[in-house]
Amino acid sequence: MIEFQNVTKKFGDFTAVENISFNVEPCSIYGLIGYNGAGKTTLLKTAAGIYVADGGDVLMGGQYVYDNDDIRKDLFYIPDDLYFPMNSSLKSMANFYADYYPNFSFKTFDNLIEVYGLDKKAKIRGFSKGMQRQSEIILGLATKPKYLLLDETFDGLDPQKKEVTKKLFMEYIAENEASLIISSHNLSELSNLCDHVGLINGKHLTMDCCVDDISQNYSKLRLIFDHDVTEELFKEINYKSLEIDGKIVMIIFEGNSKEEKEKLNALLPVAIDEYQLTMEEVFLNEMEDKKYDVTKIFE
Amino acid sequence: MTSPRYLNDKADSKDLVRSFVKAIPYAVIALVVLSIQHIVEVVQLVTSPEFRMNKASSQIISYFGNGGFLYPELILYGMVLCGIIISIVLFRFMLSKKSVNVYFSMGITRTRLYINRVIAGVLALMLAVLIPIGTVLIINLASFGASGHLFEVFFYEFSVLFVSGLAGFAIATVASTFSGSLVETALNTAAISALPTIISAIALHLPEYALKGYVGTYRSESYAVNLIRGRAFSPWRFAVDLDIAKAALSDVADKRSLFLSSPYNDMADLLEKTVPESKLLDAGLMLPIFVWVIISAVLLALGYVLINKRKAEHANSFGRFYISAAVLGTTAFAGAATLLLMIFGDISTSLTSSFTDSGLNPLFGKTGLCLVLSIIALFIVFFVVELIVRRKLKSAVRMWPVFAGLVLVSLVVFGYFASEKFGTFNKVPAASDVKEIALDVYDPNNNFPTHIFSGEAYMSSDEKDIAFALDQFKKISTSKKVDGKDQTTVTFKFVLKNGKETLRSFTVYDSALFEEYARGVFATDYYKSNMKFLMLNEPKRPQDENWEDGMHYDDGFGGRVYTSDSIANYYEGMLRDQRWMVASPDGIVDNAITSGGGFDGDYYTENELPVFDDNEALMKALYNDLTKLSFEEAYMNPKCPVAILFTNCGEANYADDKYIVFNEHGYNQMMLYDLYLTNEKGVNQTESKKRAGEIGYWGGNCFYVYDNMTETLELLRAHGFDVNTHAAKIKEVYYTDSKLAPDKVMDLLCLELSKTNKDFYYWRGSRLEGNLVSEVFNQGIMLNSLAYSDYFGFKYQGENEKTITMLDIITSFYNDYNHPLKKADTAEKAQQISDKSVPFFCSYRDDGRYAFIIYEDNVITCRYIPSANVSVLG
Repeated sequence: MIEFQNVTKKFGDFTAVENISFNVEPCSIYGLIGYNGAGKTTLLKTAAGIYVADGGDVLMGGQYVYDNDDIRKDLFYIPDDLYFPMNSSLKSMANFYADYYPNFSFKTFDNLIEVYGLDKKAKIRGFSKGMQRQSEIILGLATKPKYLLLDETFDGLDPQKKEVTKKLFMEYIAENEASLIISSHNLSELSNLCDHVGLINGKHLTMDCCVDDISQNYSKLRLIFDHDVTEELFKEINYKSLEIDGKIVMIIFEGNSKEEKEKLNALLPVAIDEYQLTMEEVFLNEMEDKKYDVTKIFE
Repeated sequence: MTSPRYLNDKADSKDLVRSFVKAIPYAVIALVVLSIQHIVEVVQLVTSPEFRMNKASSQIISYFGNGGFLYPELILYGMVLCGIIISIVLFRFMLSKKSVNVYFSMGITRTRLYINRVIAGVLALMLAVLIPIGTVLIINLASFGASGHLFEVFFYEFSVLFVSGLAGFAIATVASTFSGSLVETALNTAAISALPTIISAIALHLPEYALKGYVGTYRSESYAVNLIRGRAFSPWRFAVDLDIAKAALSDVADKRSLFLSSPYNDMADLLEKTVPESKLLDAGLMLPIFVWVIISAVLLALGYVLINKRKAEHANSFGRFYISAAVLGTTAFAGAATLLLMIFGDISTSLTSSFTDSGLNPLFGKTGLCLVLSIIALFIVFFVVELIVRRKLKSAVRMWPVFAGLVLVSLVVFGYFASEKFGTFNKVPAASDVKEIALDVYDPNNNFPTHIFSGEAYMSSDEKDIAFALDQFKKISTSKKVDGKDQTTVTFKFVLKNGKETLRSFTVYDSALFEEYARGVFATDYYKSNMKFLMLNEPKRPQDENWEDGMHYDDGFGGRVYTSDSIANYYEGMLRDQRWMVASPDGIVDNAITSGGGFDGDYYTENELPVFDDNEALMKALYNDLTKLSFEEAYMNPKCPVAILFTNCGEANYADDKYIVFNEHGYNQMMLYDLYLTNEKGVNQTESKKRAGEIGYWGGNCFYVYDNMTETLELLRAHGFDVNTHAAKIKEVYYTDSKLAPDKVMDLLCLELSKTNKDFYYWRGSRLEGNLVSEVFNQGIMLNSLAYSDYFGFKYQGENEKTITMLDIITSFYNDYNHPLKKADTAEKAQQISDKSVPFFCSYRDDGRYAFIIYEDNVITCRYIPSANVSVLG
């Protein structure tokens, strides 16, 4: 299990993340979401033992991670910014990682090479961005880690490779009882991968829940009226989000309150349909971002 | 079942191997260069037929490749650079965010990453040196067999090369641990490398110039000189500047009086004792190597601490590490401080620059103002550097504790040296506390401007001597410096009853004060006792293994494995122990010498020297005569001497040495002489100029024998020395017609020589007048062999070169070249000129003239006509 216990990390006077606590169980994939610069990478690097936390601790298997070689031999971190030395190939990198990761499996490595269809003797720096990502995923999984930390790992992968990779991760986690944390700001990538998600907003973890629980936290309803309606009609409703397009209204509110639904029924819509929120919608609702009237920006 | 610990150990060992492999290419470059430098030459030598026929164990030293294709300095620079490069290659992973992500998240601790790289780097450097040097050892063993000496040389060569690389490696490694980028690492490496030089320069320079009353023996020793001396302590040159370092350390040791507490004195003593002469693998030779091993170990240990404190987020940054900013700021501060030291010079008193001498120095004597200006300047330098490094005003301002610390340290150090409040320099011991004293005693006739300080050898416990010493100490230590005045030094040594020693040297600017001292000393029993101690007592020459062996090694690494430049200090019976030669006033020392060739590098056998064979009798006669002289007769005798007794300079000046080597020429202390020129009390200045003979340039001891020194003259004559003037009649006298003519003559001489030997270019050296004239002209007769010297700028006369006679030159100058030489038109005038001239070696360059006297027997001698006698020329 990976445990984040009140983790705080500062860069000089700037606090990147503050008092963040959550756990990632074995056989679990945790999605870490947040805006660019929210602190996802900082949190992952702290978890990987690259950064030392200014407050709190990260524990893996009950042990502190920072500068702990016993733990880190079972940990693999795939950063957003990949490192491949000059003239390195997948083969040479495999040899490199095999020196430091005692569980490194060349069989797994070869199998994954086959899955992704890469040339293990070719120079990695000559690969496309997506191929380099695939290379790092191959190397990371071949180390057979118990703890896999992925930072924007799907960035640059084509849809087909994304799906393959997701399946590989899920298979690997299940097989090895591993814990995986993946950060992304592309929620669709995580939607059918993670079993848990955490949302970092304003240095803090503002949401930490099971993906399955997300739909229970929010209700999304589409109402169709036989006449045009205005926002005034919904003033009694405690909604989170309201979009009105003439006779059609899309409304989101927290929880699954029967009371609110009854209030909506009382407005006599022609039809009322209930939808499941996507992670993206949850993300946007949670962030409560400023609303810009973009039409005025280029005036 | 495999344990986790074992697995980690495996990762560690693999990381070590990987690191070593990374270092290998750079170590191989060093190995190849060292192999070419050492092995190739050695193989060529030992396989040559000549070598096979003449091999001797003493040649072993040479075959360590002393004369390789590269200068030893370049090899050492290369080794330091190699160490730096290997360190950067191994530790640059910390400087990139990408690689930091990998290395700091892998299953290996920072500690192991660091240790493995240090081991790999050190191992690579060691092998790069060991393989070629070990190969040379094997070749030597095969050629000569084993000897302790061979292994010593091997060990020394290996140590020097390896430790040079190690020093570079350690500096770059510790710099990497607190740098964010390659550029910052390079800057910090340069800064750390420069700090020993800067700090040494300050340490050497500060006491010299910032102290009231401290001896300025080498006033010309500028800051630049001290910077060069400081360079001897840098990682780049510690092995090649051993002599410079030794001199600097001795200098510090000499200044032990500057330090109040006994630990410093002990340290200074230790430095003296650990820098002995000429013994392979002794502490003196190995000291800098050991020191750099220790420094490297400390730096690597510091790196060990810092890598664990290092913040990974500082990779790919510049100036984010506080330590880095502190190191760069400190280096800038220290560098600027040294410049200020140079600019403000002896801040508490006067500047030594021509600026001061011209009387335009507005800061003269304004210590407080100088300090404030210094601090302001240092503040600006420090914070400008910090702004550049940190790039944010707020971050730069945060460096203020470092600046404050540096200022505090500077003030404490400066205050310690410059303030009289500490009582460092002028604290007068109570007479009741003094057990014995030693003073500067001026050796009469011994080329007066030089002085003997025999205090280390001869001490007096006489109450009158102690009282005199304390009185003079008080006066001189409290005397003020005078801007623009020439200076001289006076040294006192007190041994207190509690066993403590106090050694003080003071610069004396006031000529009247100095004369009072000189006359006072002359009048004491201490003076006579001192002379007796040196002249009459049974010689007790210090044991010196090098001389006992009769060997002079000058081989090994950079010619510095064996260095023998031992010149004995004063010891009991020293003057009696030396080889004394006799010169007549004509400047003709002896035909064997005068026609024998040049100075530098030429060897004379015992038979060729006009050596006096009974030192005991000679010293006794001299002592008796000298102690009868008045102060004026002893130091300012206007008469021409009828003979000169002198010892050789160089390395073999003892009576029983087998050979003599003329090498470097010592310097006269002209300042003391000049002091007399400007003496307000009206000493016969013109005549006193005769007192410093050119023989003094030889650096040996020298006594002038006057006609009233009857006992000595009688002894000389009894031993067959001609102490009268040249017997032959004067045939012709040529003389320079203006005070500028000597220069012109010298130029023309070069021209003539160049015309004679067209393949060579002859030029006038800077010391031409002071040396060449005496040494060429004074040798008289034939210019058969013109001494070559960088000093003099004259090309050595080789076997196949044409010769030119002095008579040819004189005649040529008389007849041509606008006639720089005139000729006495009558025998009477020629005789008058001769009478009014003095031997050239007694002459000084005032506004006088030169004269060449040609005798009937074709002996030519160069004479000098002092300005007071120039009227004889008409």
